[in-house]
Amino acid sequence: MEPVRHLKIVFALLILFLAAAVFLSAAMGSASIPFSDVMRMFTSPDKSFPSAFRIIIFQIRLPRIILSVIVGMGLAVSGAVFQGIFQNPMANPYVLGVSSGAAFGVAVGMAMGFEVSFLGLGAISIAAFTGGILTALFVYFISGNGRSVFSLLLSGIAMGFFLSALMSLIMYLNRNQIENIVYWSMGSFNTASWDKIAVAGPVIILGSLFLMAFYRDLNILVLGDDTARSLGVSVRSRRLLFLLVSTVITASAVSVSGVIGFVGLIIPHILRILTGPDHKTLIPLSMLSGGLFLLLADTLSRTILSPTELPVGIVTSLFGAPFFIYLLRNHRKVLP
Amino acid sequence: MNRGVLRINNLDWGFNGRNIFNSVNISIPEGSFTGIIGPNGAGKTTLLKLILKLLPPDRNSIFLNNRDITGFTRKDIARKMSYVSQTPGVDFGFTVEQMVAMGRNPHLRSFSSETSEDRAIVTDALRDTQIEYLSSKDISKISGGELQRVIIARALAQKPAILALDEPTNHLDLNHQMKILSLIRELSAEKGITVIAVLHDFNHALEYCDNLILMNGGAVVASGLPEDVITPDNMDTVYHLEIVMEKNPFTGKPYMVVRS
Ligand SMILES: Nc1ncnc2c1ncn2[C@@H]1O[C@H](COP(=O)(O)OP(=O)(O)OP(=O)(O)O)[C@@H](O)[C@H]1O
Ligand SMILES: [Mg+2]
Repeated sequence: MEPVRHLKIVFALLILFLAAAVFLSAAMGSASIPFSDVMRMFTSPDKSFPSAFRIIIFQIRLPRIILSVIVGMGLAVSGAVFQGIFQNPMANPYVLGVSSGAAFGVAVGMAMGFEVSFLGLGAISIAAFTGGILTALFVYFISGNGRSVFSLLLSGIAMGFFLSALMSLIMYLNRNQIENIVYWSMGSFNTASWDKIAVAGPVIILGSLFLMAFYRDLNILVLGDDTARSLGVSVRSRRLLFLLVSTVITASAVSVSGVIGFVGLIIPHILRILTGPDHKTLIPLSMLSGGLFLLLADTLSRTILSPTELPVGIVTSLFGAPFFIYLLRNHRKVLP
Repeated sequence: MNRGVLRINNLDWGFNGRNIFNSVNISIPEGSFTGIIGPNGAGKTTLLKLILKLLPPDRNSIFLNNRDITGFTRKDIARKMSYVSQTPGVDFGFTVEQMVAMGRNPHLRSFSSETSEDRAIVTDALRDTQIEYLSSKDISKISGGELQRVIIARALAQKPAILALDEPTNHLDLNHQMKILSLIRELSAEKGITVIAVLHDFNHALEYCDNLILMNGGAVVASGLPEDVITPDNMDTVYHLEIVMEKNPFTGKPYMVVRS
């Protein structure tokens, strides 16, 4: 497949789809609100709508929509950066143990009944963020400071197994919390709030823009260590910087939504095939597509079995896994 | 004695403590086209990588403009030296032009974008290596020889004072071998670029180089004018080949014939 050369059109279409998805999703849900009312509520400050509608839209659905878009952006961008740095389509922050570390943090937090809150975030978010970051750092250091990509990935996988075992142990010893922990580890936006957006939003968006500004270094890192060095890139310190920023992005996403799989794997992978490997476009396109994909997945997860809702991680995996296998079989050579 | 832009001074070095080089001394004159020849495993690639700090040399063993290279940052080095590696494996779908433009990286600050001057330099590099017609092609979909010219174009776009090439002609057809070597010699003559090239073809070495360094087993066996290095004696000791020197009827330069 030839990469699409009309990138401006791709950008415009994605922005259009994203805006349309926001409106549609705001109109969908167990309480039915006419689409035209939603449009008017967004566009005019008219107070004539029933206040219940306003609350549903602005306090329940909109935070959830925005949070899912932001989390989708963060997961896709950090996935794109990891794939580039490791020159491996399977790489993403989860393999460094960010997800298992976060889940472990949450299991510990729930089992101990933590009741802290910080910046409007509950104990669970804080435990997830801390667990995710600490695990990634630990994996980085035990693997010899990222000296070899291979040992980094293997250490991450080993650490993931270890933490999953510990988590199972905690669940076994605290059976009353099993349901909560499992539900959290499948990812969900049903606790979305403006507070969560206020904390995770800036980290994810600024982090993504920061990575985008380094697009040239990211492109050069794809060419391999020796070439990158001979083009003036300090490979180890740059790689550490990018790893750290994408890990913080992912940990922030996980801390407000639980573990949501496949977004970080699949979105950048498809974009590389369709629009090429240049991070100057890959990162903003990942933001838009990741946000759109996760918003659609979440809308589906809360409407398909309405009034019950599915964890969104189940939806992304149900769609993501088969598609990913299809991609691997058909486009082996996107990355070496 | 010529001080040399690049000086290697009592270099001892090895992978994991097993020494490859023992007190190697080399001086490369500014603006020269210096060839490095030697059998497989002689240490040619390792030497180039040390010069470019792709492998870590010890302090006070390699000097660029009389400054110890261990004190240079990556960017400093990349602004002064560019490198065409022996095995340019690439398979990622950048376009030829994007690839060549990456040569401008060491001259750009983070967060700033390319200027029209940078773009002009990239265009020149594409033209000089005769790959303009490939500009928008995917680098994973061009031939090995075309790719080699892309890598050379990128090295030229770096506007180096020193251009280090590891077997730059190993994928090229005979016509492009001569074209690339002539281009490199012209650049060296016109713009004063110092060229260090690992070559396997002795007649290319005789034809294009100002100086030659003959390496074997990590040691410099001979260095100096090409015809003083490629001698029947040296070829016998290093390669166990019997050769006769002739004259190239076209250029009048020395020409080597091997007895099969
Ligand atoms: N990464 C490495 N680790 C250990 N030893 C190495 C490594 N790379 C090269 N060597 C050894 O160092 C010696 C010099 O290798 P080098 O690649 O410099 O040879 P060369 O002269 O470039 O050969 P060629 O003509 O085959 O390219 C060889 O004995 C080789 O086996
Ligand atoms: Mg070699």
